Amino acid sequence: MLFPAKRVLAISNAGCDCYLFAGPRLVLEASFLPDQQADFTAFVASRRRSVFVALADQIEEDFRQDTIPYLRGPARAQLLTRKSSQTYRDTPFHTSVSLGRESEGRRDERVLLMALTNAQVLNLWLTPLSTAGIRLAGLYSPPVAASVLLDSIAGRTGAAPARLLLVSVNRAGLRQTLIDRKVARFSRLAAVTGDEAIDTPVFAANCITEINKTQQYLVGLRLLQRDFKLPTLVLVPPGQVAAWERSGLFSESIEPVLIDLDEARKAAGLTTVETTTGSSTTPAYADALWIHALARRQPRLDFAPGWLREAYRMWQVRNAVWAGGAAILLAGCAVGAERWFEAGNLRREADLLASQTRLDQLNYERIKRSFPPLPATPDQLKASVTAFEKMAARTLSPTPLLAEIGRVLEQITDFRLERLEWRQGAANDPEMLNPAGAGPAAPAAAAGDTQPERLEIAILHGSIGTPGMAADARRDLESAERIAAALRAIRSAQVTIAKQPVDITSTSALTGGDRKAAQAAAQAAPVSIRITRKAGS
Amino acid sequence: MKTAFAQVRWALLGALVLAGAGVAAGLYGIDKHGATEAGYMQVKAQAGDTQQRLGSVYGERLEIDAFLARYNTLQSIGALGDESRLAWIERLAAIRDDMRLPRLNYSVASRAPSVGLAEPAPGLRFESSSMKLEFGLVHEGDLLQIIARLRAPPMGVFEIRNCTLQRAPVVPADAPAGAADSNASPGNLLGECLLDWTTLTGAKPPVDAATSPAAAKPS
Repeated sequence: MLFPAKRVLAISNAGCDCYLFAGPRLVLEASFLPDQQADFTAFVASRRRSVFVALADQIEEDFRQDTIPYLRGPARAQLLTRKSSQTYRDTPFHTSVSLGRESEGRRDERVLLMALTNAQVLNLWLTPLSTAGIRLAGLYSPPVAASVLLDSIAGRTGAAPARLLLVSVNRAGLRQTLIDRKVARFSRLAAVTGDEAIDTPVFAANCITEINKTQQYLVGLRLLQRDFKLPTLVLVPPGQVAAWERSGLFSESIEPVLIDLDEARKAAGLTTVETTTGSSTTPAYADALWIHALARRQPRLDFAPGWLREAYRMWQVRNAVWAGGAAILLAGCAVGAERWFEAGNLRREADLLASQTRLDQLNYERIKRSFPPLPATPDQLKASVTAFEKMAARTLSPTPLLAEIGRVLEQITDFRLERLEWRQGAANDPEMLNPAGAGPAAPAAAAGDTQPERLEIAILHGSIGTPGMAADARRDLESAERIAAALRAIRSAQVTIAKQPVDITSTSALTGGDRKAAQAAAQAAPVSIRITRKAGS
Repeated sequence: MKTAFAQVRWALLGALVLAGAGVAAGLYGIDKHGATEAGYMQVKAQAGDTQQRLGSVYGERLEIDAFLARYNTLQSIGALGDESRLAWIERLAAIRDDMRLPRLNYSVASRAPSVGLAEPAPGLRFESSSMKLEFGLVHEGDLLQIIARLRAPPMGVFEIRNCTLQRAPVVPADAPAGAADSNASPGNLLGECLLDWTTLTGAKPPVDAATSPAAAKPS
């Protein structure tokens, strides 16, 4: 069970009451006398799934201050256990609390050893719990539970002073506890003797007398200074505050604060105390308030030895194991849910994106449909147009050069044009470098050019002079040079004489004489002139 | 007395079951997320592609507007696809008749892939047909006029590779009477030109445009 019922066993020398804690209610389920062990065992066994807390309100308790060397960790725990065991050999129900370190000497640690010394009575009720494997969360006494009681009624009393005497009228007697900085330094359960009813002035007077005695006793123990006015918080039986105030019996050394028990219960959130078995409870006593405070929150100090809490400890381990598994389950579910949720977001985002993509696709198709009918792909369109434009830019026509040659030759009278050749091509084309019969070529494009230049070449084949005239080599050479010079007027043209009228180069054989002169006089001297021009000039 | 393990074994077993269920739930969620994320990345990639195409389609449109008219012009003058050989021979006959050329002979070789002209785009290739012209001229200016009349109005794209012009041999005075007839004379000049008619072939309409009823027809 994840949240088991919580039950409190109120143990006194007179017997044991079992209360069920139900938030603002306490239900007294059963009361057992010391000779009803079998009933008690059966009762707790039938409620083995509950968590029990025990409150022992007995006269037999001991408080002893001692010192131990200042230690930490397991060594201190072992020393305290040994010290407690040596001090309280007859009872396993002991505990200790640190009171701080001494200010002088070795600065040893002061500890308060506490014990419930009537082990016989406690074993009577607690051993069956251990045997039956009942979960006992802890064993407490009113002194160690005093701090939680004060906290529970703080709404009514306000912040408690650092040192005070807490007094309550319990069924077992008048419980007086000296609390110093939330630690019980001393406690006493006094039997208020007599047959007086709880709501009588005599009962009040007896109680106040006990309180005064306790104050004197504490001064005698040097737990209080003689001149210290002791704040005393008294949980007065219901409706008796005025009577207690009127009594005027409190000593001068006591500063009483009287709280009506009903108001204290209300402040602690305890609304009702019910019975289910016919047993009667006595709301005039403060026991229910102690039990309720202890059920709500357990103090740190605990009298239960380890073997008594074994079942509870194993239950805690089981709970921790279950909690670990549940934590992993929750973490896994959280991770899975987060991933699932994130996947949902992604799906929605993907759907949106897909919708947008469909729209984009439709737009794309609409725009494509609006294109004019294409005879070719856009790339082919562009490439075709660009290629032809490049071709047109580099293509040469013979018309401009031939027209210019014609204009120059109109001015020359002693040159007879027999044949005209025109060609175009790349500068590195062999035909362009040395066309048939054209003589030496003009300089080609510079080496390393990636795109060879386009050239146009015109070669003029003709003759110089007039047939019948006497041959004159010098004159013919001068005429050829003059004609070439005239042709150089053509824009950007490189003009060379490809074939001289008379070959006077040293690399050729040269012949002459009367017969040759006669032949030369019969016909004009042949000459070839080469005109080269770059495209775009 | 039960051992400690015996007391917690069912809790351990239950916790293991819970932990296993938790791990399974986590892994299932992670797996589901992974699969969804993969699908999302795919959709995102498709969206990126589509957006890129949508973005480029505007540029495509601008290019089409810029080049389509010029492309159509090239097509209309016979620079694309099939050659206009009939137009060529009709134009040559007209030139001969109009200019009263003493002689005009031509020969056109079969079309072949152009040498030295690279493929301008995938699928496109240049092809050329060589045309050799032999003619007789009265005057050297006739050559320029022949070239001008071949160019305009355009009936293709051609490049003149070379031309040669030379004086016609003089007809001897004692030649037979028929040989001296001016109609039979080759003219004062003899000429010869070599032309390359170039066409670009291989263009195909886009697939989507090809299915459109309004797809362009070759002129």
